[in-house]
Amino acid sequence: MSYVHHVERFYGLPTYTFSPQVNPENLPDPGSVAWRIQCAEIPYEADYMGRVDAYWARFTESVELEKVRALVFGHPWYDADGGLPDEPLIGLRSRLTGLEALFLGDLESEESMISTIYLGNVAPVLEAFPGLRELVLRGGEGLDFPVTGHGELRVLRVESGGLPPEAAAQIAASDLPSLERLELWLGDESYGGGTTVEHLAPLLAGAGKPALRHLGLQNSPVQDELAAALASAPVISRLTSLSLALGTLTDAGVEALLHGQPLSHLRELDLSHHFLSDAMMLRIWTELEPQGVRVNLTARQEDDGGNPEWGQEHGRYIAVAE
Amino acid sequence: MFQAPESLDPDDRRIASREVNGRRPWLEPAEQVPYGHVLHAAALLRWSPAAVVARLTAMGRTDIQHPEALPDTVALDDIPLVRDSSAKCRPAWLDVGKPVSLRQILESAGLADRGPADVARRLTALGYRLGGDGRTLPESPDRGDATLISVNPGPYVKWLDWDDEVPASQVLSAAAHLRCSPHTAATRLLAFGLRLPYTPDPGDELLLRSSGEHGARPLYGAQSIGHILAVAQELGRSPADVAARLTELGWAQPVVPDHPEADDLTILSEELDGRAPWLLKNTVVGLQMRHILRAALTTGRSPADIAERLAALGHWLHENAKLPETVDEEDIRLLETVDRSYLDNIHLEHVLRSASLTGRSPADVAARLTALGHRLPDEVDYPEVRASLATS
Repeated sequence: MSYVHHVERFYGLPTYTFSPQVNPENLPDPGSVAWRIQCAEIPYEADYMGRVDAYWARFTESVELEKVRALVFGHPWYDADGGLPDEPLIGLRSRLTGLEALFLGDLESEESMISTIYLGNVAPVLEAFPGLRELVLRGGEGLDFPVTGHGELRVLRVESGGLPPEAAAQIAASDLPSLERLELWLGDESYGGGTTVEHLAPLLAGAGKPALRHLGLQNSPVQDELAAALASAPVISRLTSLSLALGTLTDAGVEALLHGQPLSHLRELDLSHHFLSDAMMLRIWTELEPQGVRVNLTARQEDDGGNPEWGQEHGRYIAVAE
Repeated sequence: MFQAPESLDPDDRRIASREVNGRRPWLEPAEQVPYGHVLHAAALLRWSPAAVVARLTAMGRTDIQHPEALPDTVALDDIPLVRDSSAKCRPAWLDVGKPVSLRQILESAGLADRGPADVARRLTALGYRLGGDGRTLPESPDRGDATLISVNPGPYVKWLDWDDEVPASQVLSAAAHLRCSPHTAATRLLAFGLRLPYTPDPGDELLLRSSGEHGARPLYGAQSIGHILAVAQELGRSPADVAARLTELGWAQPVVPDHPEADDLTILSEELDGRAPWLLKNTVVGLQMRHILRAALTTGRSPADIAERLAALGHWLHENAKLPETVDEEDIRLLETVDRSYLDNIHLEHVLRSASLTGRSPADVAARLTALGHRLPDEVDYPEVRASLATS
């Protein structure tokens, strides 16, 4: 099962891939869709970048940008080659006055492996759009998040097969006073990841994000350690939902959670894609569900034992890596 | 081998450079100078094409492609028209020795927001010979024209040309991409002089209008009987007549009942309201038990009766399914939480999820799903404790 797809809905809106062949009068109402900007490459094409330039020009001249609420950027604006500079987007800030949501790097694995999608420094984009309420980043390569503050951002999600630990630490330390949902796919060290509990210390301590209600620390090979840290983390008390999905969670991690602070105030605990035993699945379900915590235990995985010749002690893998 | 010109004259160097900028890459000495280059240089230097040809000749170029009669002038906005839209790997100029394809005209017209007729006239004035035996083209610009003649856009695209017949399915898929009506697409294709396997009729819009279980997107392999019956009823035509016309318009050949029944539209609609979206035939996993139970509840008929009628309408139920004699609304709520078909095993994780979402105990969920024919292979003592639905 792949967890990386082109988004069909974003910011509560259906996505529509802009086509320069559609006459302007037949385009959707600018505020009714999330506009996906994506110009597929055709093999042996003589002047692909010329077509990309024409595509972008036609988008900016055909759509009332002032009414656009959500934008989704795919290939080639983001890809393994570093993508295109974001100046064209930032340069349009005087027209994109209603922009509330941005998805950067909406590529599927056929277009680029998630761990190789280059994101770079996203601070200029956030500075250019102070009204942004939702930001989703897919990739991780080169991600830099030196954001000192953004007053409006409600949702931040980073989908990564290898989130640079420095970037994870920057996000954890950032002041985002309105942020309600934070979801980090931490990824594997072999693909640029390696985030540890220490990198996330400010976040776990509850600093800088007073409005946080949902936290997802996901897709991690150290999911048990994260669970153990969360068992006593101050941030837990302000959450209504918590996700430890997509990672390598085992009985040890859940045992730590159950021995930690109370979780009964949560409305939802997402542990999907896990390596739990039947007994532990039944135990956490019977302990929390009657208290009103909806526990998601779907997508159970099997430990395949790993390959001892490669020094592997187990065969547990995160959901999204390369 | 590319060579810089010996002349140091700035205009000479521009003429000798491929992009008419006085810099590398230079024209290949051993290759013919394309006519497009002559036009490009003339437009940028504001010379006549004849003057460019003369200058190239003076520079020693003997093989220069051009038509018998050169135009007096060429404008900068002519240049995109003579870029070969079918070039591979690197930009190329349109070959003046070959007839111009319909694709070339429509792509360049679409990019320039010019009418195809205007582009055709201009190419003719520049000395190009059009394919299509001089047939007329639409005057009005339309950005979607090239899409109309590109079959299967992408790596394996096939471009229709002057004498081709357009597959009926192409009209539907192009119209869907361009967010226009199939009739608009069909009439535009006829305006290019292309042939269709049918005569477009404005009345076809009614047949195709609400076909969209998913808007205007055509569903070739999944013709819905509900749509045909609804249209037939609305237009006072027979289902067979409607189905035959839809087949002409590019839809897969559907099977329609000879004698529609009163409840057919209801049980064929996903929301049991007799309207689109219509139930699609699933050839892999078959009907959803949940739909049968909901349909039975809505119509007051038995689940077995509903299943039998849907089977007569081309749908089927997996052999593992065990139909209950009567409808229990709790079954419907339970099945809404199950995303496994009768081909899939249901494991502990799924039972727990359904128990979470319904407020039933895992033991109760497991027993009921088993009774409905699902396979639960895990040897687990499902607990009797119930989930709290306080958060739902």
